[in-house]
Amino acid sequence: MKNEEHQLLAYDFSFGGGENNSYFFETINNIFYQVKFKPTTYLFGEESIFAPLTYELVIELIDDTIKLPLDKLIPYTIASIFEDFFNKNAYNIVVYLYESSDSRQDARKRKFDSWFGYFKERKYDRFEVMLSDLEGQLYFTTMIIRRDNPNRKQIATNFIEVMADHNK
Amino acid sequence: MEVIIEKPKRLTGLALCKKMLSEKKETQRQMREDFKTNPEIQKIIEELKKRNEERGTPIISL
Repeated sequence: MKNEEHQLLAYDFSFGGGENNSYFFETINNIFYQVKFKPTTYLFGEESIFAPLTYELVIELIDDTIKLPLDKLIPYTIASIFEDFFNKNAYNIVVYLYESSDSRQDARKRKFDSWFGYFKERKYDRFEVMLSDLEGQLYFTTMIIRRDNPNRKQIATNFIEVMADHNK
Repeated sequence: MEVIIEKPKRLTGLALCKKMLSEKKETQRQMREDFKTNPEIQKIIEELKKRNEERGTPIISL
């Protein structure tokens, strides 16, 4: 994340730990966010060797009484938290899910892309799948793993298989 | 007589996405609730606030 040419700024964060690996940060507008990496054992099936390493990323504005202003430091902060989580275990697998039910999927994708784009070192791979149901609602699922994960190909294959399997 | 125990089918595709999405919404609701009521979360928030106040800003250089 460090860049010698430009000084990168972000919000300081606290790691609260717990089962869901919770992180917290406060913005310049005194708004609090929580970022969780929630264990998701059923993505690959509980018997999979990858099950204990799989987490769902959940980002939430926890102080919901405050109107949200645009804040350019949040993407750097999320990226920084993400790096901290992967520094704890480089074999972690993170999935992020969002949908189109309230027509805000484009904004969510932009936000997600914005913080993912702040990784200066190209050490992560990202796999995206979009599914739609009969009503036309779209479901977007992204999986992120470290590029140096020795099981990278197997994880990617399993992810695509699980997501592409519509009929079971 | 051979007894065949069928393993429960693993969720895949859309069913999996719908389950994950439903759980995500509940998790987000719980996060907002915990912010207001969970003493452990409130303690972490207070410590973070204090640290930011002592620094004079929540912003740090990466």
